[in-house]
Amino acid sequence: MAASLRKLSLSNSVSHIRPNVHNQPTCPVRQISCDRTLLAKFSDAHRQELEKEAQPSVESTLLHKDYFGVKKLVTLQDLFHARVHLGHNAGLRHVSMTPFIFGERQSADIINLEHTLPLLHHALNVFAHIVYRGGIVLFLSRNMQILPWVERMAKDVGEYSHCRPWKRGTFTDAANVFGTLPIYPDVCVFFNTQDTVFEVHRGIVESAKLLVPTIAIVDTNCDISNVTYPVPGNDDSPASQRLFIDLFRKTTLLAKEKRKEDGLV
Amino acid sequence: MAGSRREAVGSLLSRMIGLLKSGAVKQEDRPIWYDIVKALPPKPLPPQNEVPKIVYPEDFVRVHFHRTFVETSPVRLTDDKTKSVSQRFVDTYLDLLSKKVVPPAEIFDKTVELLKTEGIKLQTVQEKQERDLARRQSIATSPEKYTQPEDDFTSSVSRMEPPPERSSPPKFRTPHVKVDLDSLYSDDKK
Repeated sequence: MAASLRKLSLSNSVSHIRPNVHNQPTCPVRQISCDRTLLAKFSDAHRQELEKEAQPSVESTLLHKDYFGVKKLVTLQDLFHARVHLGHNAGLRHVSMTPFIFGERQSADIINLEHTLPLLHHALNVFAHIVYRGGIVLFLSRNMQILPWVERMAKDVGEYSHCRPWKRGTFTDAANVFGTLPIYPDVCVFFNTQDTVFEVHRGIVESAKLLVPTIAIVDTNCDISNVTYPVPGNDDSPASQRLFIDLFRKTTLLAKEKRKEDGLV
Repeated sequence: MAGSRREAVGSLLSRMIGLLKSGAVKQEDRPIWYDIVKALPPKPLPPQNEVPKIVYPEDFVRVHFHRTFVETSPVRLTDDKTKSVSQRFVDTYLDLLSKKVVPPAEIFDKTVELLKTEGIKLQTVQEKQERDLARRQSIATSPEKYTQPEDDFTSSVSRMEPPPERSSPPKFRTPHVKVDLDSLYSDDKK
C-alpha cells in the first residue's frame, strides 16, 4: 500500500504522465482519482502541444482552405451587379472561352458567373499566398480608361504596374532592353489580355516563356491558352474593372497584413 | 531563368518540375510560386463544347406584340417601378395563359381588350401606316396648314431682354503690396 502510494505521488509530475499498466490497483478509489488527475494532466499537456503546432507555419497555411478570407470579399451578387457576366458579340468569341459561356442572348455572349466565382476565389487565394511569402507582383493592363486606377492601386499597395505599350522582349530580352539582368515578378496580374483589339498582350506569352504564373481577367474574345489562372469576366465595363481592381487591392493588403502578423517581414 | 522557353509544351508547373528533377534549378532556388501552384493547381476546364441560345417563353409573346403594335410611348430606363406597355402586355398574357380560362388561340385578342379597358392606347402597325399616308397627302394638297412651329430655342432667344449697358467701366483689383520686379531678377541680394 505504502509503496503504491509513493509510486502515485512520484508519478504526479508532468514527466511521468504515462500511466503504469502493471501497477496493481490496491485501492480502487485512490486509483480512480489518480487516473483523473493523470488524464487531466495528460490532456492538458496534449492540448498545449496542439496549440504549439497550431501556430501558423508558412507551409501549413497552404492546407488552410481560405487563410486570408478572400472568399468573403466577393459574392455572386456583387459580380452580377458589376456587370461581370456581359461578354462580347457572339461573332467575336474565342474558341477557348466556350466552356465558360452560359449562353448567347440576342447575339451577345453571357458569361457563366457560377464558373467565374470559384475561379476568382481560387486565383485570389493563390495571389494572396504569393504575396504572403514576399513575392513581387506586377499589375498589367492596356486599357487607357483604367490606366490611372491600376497605377495608383499598385503604388498604394506597394507593388509594381506596367500599363504602357509593351516593348517586345521586356521579359525575354531584358538584358538588351534594360542593359542589366532584371528581377522577374513572381506573379503577373492582367486586367486586360488584349493589347489592341486584334493583338494579344505580348506580356502573357513572355511570362509563360519565363515561368512566371499569370492571373488574367479574360473576356469572351480572349485566348486563355497561355494564362495560368484565367478568370472569365467582363474586362470592358468600368463597373467590373473597378470591382476587379478593388479586389486585388484588398487581397494584397490582407496578405501583407497577415505577413506582418505572422512575423515574416 | 534557366529552362526552355517553349511555353506551348507542358504547363508552367510541369516545366518547373522537370527543371527541378534534372537539377537545372536547385531545390532551394525554386521560385516562390512553386509550392503554391503545386498545392493549388489551376482548375480543370468545365466540359462544354457548344454555347446554347438563351430563349425565354415570353419572347414569343413579345415578338408577336411588337410585330402587331407600334411603340407608343418612350420608356424611362432608370425607372424600375412603372412597367412598359409591352411588359404589361406580356404579364397579362402569361397570367391569362396560366389561368386557362380563355382558349390559347384567343389569348392575344383577350389581352388587347383587357389593356384597352385599363386605358392604354395601342396602335397597330397598319393604323400607323395609314395615318402617316393620310398626313403626307394632306401636306401635299394644303401645305399652309402644316407650317413648321417656331423652334423653342429661337423663340426663347428672341424673347430675352438685351443686357443693360454699363454706366461705369468695370473695376479691377490691384495688389496692395507693390513688388519690385527688378530686384527679383538681379543677382546681388541686398
